[in-house]
Amino acid sequence: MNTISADRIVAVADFSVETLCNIQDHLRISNSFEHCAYREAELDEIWRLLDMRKRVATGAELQRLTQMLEIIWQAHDLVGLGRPLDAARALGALVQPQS
Amino acid sequence: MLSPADNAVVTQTGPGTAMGDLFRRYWMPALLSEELAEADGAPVQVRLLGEDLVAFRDTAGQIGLVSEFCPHRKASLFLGRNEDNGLRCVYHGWKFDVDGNCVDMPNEPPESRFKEKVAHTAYLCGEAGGVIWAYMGPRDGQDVPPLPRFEWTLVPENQRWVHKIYQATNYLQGLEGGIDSSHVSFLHASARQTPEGPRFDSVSIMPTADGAPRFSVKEMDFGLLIAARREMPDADTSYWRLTPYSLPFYTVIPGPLDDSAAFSGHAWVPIDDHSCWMYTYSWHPERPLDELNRRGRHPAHLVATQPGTYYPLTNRANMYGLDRAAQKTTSFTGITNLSDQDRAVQETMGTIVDRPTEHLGTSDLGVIGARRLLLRQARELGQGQPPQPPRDASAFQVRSLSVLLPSEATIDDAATEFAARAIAQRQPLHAAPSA
Repeated sequence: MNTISADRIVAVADFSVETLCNIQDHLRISNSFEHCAYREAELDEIWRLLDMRKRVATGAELQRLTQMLEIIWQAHDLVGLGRPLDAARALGALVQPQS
Repeated sequence: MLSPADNAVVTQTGPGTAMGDLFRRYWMPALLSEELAEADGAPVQVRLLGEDLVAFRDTAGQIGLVSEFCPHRKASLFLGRNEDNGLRCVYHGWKFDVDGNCVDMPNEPPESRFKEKVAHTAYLCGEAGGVIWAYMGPRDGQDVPPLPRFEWTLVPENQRWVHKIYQATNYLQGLEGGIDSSHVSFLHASARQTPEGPRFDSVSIMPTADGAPRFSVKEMDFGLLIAARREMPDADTSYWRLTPYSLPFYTVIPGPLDDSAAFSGHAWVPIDDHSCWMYTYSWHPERPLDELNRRGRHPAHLVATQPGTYYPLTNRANMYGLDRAAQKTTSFTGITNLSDQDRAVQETMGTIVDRPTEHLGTSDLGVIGARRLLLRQARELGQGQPPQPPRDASAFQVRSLSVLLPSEATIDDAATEFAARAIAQRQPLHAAPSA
């Protein structure tokens, strides 16, 4: 049974693929100003977790986090413009399996 | 967070900016009626949305709000003579009426008709609720919206207080503080020592409610309803604080659960991008505020100001009177006045917050929603779609609400309760009974 509701804010405790997929799923069914505000808040939560981690990261992890931050910011601004589907597509770069 | 571009758009309100164009579509508080108390009295300098203006009340009691600088040689009209239904420049005697018409030009030959060609910038004014309001948008007749019908402007004078103080920040910092319900559990908490260590009690929140509210928002005809839901120990009910954010910069603060206190709220009116006037209005729909004693007045009404001005005595230069001993014993901040507590954190951020580097979360949902609403309206206006709320004056007639709802209640349930109890009073107040 599908229990996803765009009216509920996703609990964000990490920036794992599972969490990002969950937000992406919610973006796909978001269709109102309120939904977009909830999704933007979730992406803000992700962004702050990433940014705090980046402050102590080095080497390859730092590079990976920098790329993730850019994508999260892009998705954040797209949902802010009322374009949740475009934001979901932008997040796709973070949730697809690495080849 | 906001991108640097969005932060610039949402905070810049000067002439020709996107947000400035939007704000000019709304009536705004320009000054208090008490500042222009008498006809032909002294003019007042007014800076609003980055424009330098002069306000005056003419012989007939009409209010003028005109560009400060005479169109002739740009002398300040604040120096002018307010006499015989017009403001006369002291440099060469040009005189302007409240509509900006040049009605006398004594330094030109009598046969000159140049004065008929001079149009000085003048803005529409209205007066309601002890406030002089200005409309700085387009004036081609049907584009001018009606004066907003805030409830505090409609009640008798003894049922309201209205005041203003200077704040050294962009308007948005003030507004964001006003719609951020989670800070009241901390910034405005009292402190006391217990055997287990210091304990902090909010002065505004039910003490049994939890300190980490869950937020939701709902777009309404006035702007945004911002809901902060706190769980109660009984598990059967939740405590909801419902804050209306009326576009573009008005709030009403949720009060206690009963109707024992007056309603209070704020407007943060941009002076320019780095400062604003914080207007505070308190009102009770039925009772004179004197009857309510301290529950009738918001702490902002009690902020001491420099004599003859609206500039607070507590400010960044004296760190708002911060008392470190009190901070250890009686107060979370060590700053006495609740309004000073707000101003202290908002002003010390810098005049415009660096939003691209902040770290928001889901507890900042109201802030996120308000910014997006403003940005969307500015964008839509740029595309030729004027904002809707200013067309409906009664949309501004809204109260706040604190309420206990069943624990399974949703934002839609809360909005229904809000509609029934906080905006159902939109009929004209004190209307004559029908026959």
